[in-house]
Amino acid sequence: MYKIVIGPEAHQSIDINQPPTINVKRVARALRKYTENVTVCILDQARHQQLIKEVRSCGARIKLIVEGEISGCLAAITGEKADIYMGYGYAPESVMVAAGITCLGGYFEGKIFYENDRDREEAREHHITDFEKIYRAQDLIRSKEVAIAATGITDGEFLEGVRFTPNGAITTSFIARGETRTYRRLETRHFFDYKPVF
Amino acid sequence: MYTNYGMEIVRATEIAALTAARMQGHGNQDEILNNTRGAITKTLNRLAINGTVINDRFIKRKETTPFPKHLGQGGPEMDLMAVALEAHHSAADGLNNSTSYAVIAKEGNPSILAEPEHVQDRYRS
Repeated sequence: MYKIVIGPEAHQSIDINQPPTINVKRVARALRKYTENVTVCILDQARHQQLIKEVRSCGARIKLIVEGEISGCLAAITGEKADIYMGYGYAPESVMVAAGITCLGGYFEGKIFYENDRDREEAREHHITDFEKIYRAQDLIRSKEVAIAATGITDGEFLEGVRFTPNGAITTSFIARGETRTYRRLETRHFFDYKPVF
Repeated sequence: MYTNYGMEIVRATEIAALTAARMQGHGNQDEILNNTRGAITKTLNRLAINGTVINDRFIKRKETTPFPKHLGQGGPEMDLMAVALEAHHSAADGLNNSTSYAVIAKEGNPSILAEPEHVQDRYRS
């Protein structure tokens, strides 16, 4: 699935059918920034070479990450380290991103590209019949009754990693709830002497 | 959804993160992924819900331990989504941006979405 994710300030300023340059410029206008100051988060994968080239040509900044699509999307939603996330990724992860958007705000458009009849035939087995469908957060998460939680393992775009202490560890997590949009960031201290063995 | 289940599932992601962190950088992607999935499964299974696991990307991957279809000790009907270890290659190599995620929602609220295998294969290159 090709997806574009932006924060709540640039709400609905993108169109997935438009080229990346236009979307970057629209987001820049919505955020009242120069295009050169907009940061686009992209996965550093071979499939994104053309996308990276196009974003570079329009002058926007690029934040390349090796892996961690959901983290990149959440970084764009919160606007902490990126303004837009663009790229091809797995569809089940998109539902997770949509849950994040329901809880934190932001906007998402996704589209699955089918290159041949074999793809379309297999898609029908997954009950997908509309091959041009643009998925938005409300299509993937239908109501506000959702909560998301995450904990960093290694330092990332969105959360710090686990730090071990002499008798335990410190983790950084976040919890967000769709109904109230409450967003909690936790630093938790674990003491292994008192924890059950997993 | 009056109860804030987020406070419950964060305990599962914390345990998953602690499990993965102890194997960070060992270089074995499947071992770290399977252990983390095992840890998050055990913790989510303690919740007082009737949980149905949906949208598991690794469901057809033979090397990966599958999530059980149902989790929880009984209670309201809920849907659960978990990415026990995002960026498992990075975690196994000790690189950045590895995180554990879980989502809980009222039954039927999240869509079940999966693209064809052949489309997914293109993303792996």
